[in-house]
Amino acid sequence: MRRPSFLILSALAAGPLHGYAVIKEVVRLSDDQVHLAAGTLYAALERLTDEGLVEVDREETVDGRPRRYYRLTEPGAAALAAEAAQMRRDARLATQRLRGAGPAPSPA
Amino acid sequence: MTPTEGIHMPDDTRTALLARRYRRWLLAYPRGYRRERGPEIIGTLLDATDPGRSRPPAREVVHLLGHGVGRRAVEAGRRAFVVAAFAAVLGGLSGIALGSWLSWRTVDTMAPDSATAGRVARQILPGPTDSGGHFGRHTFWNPYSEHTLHGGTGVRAGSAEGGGTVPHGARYDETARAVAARMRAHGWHDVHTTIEALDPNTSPPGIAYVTGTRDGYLAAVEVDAADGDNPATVGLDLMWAEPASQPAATTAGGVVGILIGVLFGLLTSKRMRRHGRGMQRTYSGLCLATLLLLTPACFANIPTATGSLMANTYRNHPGPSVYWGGFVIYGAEPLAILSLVPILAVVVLCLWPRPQPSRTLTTAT
Repeated sequence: MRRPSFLILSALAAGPLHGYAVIKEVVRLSDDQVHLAAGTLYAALERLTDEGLVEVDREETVDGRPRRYYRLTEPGAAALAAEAAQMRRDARLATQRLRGAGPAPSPA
Repeated sequence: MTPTEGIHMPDDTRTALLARRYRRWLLAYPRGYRRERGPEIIGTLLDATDPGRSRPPAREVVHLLGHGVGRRAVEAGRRAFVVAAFAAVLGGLSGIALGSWLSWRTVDTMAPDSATAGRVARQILPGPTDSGGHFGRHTFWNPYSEHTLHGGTGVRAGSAEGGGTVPHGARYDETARAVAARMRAHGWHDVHTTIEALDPNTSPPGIAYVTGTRDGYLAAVEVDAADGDNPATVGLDLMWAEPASQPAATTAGGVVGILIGVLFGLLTSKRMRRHGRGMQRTYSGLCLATLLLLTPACFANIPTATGSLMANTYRNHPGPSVYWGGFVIYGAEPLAILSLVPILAVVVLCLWPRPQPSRTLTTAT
């Protein structure tokens, strides 16, 4: 799973959000490192919807602008959990190997 | 437009302007997608854009264009994408050739005459001069020349020759500088001198080139150094210079050719999806035939155009820039003309009426 998809699913894990709220939440979750462009967000949302990981929750109109809220589906939550578990295992593995290798020699 | 534009604009006006501009960029997406998601995407874009802006940020524009075109490609199908890509290459190369050819049509079809070459030779060459007739071809429109295969330019525009005498005892580089000075004194522009000192044991041991333009003419003077057996010589080739409109016409031709190629590929592929498998196979065959017929001319045009560009840098032997050489060498020309047949056939297929679904007669009971 690519990082933007992972972050979008993570953003939706807490509850349904509309497009702009997803962008803001992704910025917050990534410590200001990932700024999704709207075109990228909607391409990703469409792909995740096609894969059955995300679905439309409801539609509203705020200040004359239509807003569609998206939520995580059960398979989406499962995919996110599996990805998080995989990342945890990878991180543990890397940490163990670094610990075993000891500190890297400083350049002469 | 300046960055400060929009500072005194009311918020509503600015937002409406920004929305209109976003809507324009959304045209990159297919119509169905725009209808379904356009208002929502524009709402998100307006929310995400910094307040005070009346123009979309470049980053958003790039992403909208990229995802929009990608979406179109997905909808049109892989075949449309392949056809459009090939059509863009062929269209671009054909457009470059056509633009250059149209530009050169403003130039006299005949190469400069010998009398003019003699007059120019007397003006810019030191010592007694003579006119030496024509070299290569006499006109631009005869596509075949003896240098087609070896000169690197594909098409060599004709030239008229003039000759002169190197003053006794003068070195070849001094003579070249004297020619350059005379050219400048007589109002020639873009005067360039190239001096090549060769191996003293070769003949000639050194060559100098001087080129310049005036009144649409390109004069190329070559001075060969003397050696043990031969005296120093100086010769003039007088050709037509590239027309001033050529860079713009060539660029515009390339861009228009690419756009027409892409549109032709996408539209015809989309249109052919209405037809049955047999017609679609015919369409694929016609596309392949067009590709095969146009490829020799287009690919031959790449080295000739490159050679032309080099000639533009060193405007001595290879002559002035022409970008349509690939279309007129070997058998490429008749093949390129023949390619119009499958192209027209594709158009006819696209305009062919859509097959009616077969109806089953039913009897009311």
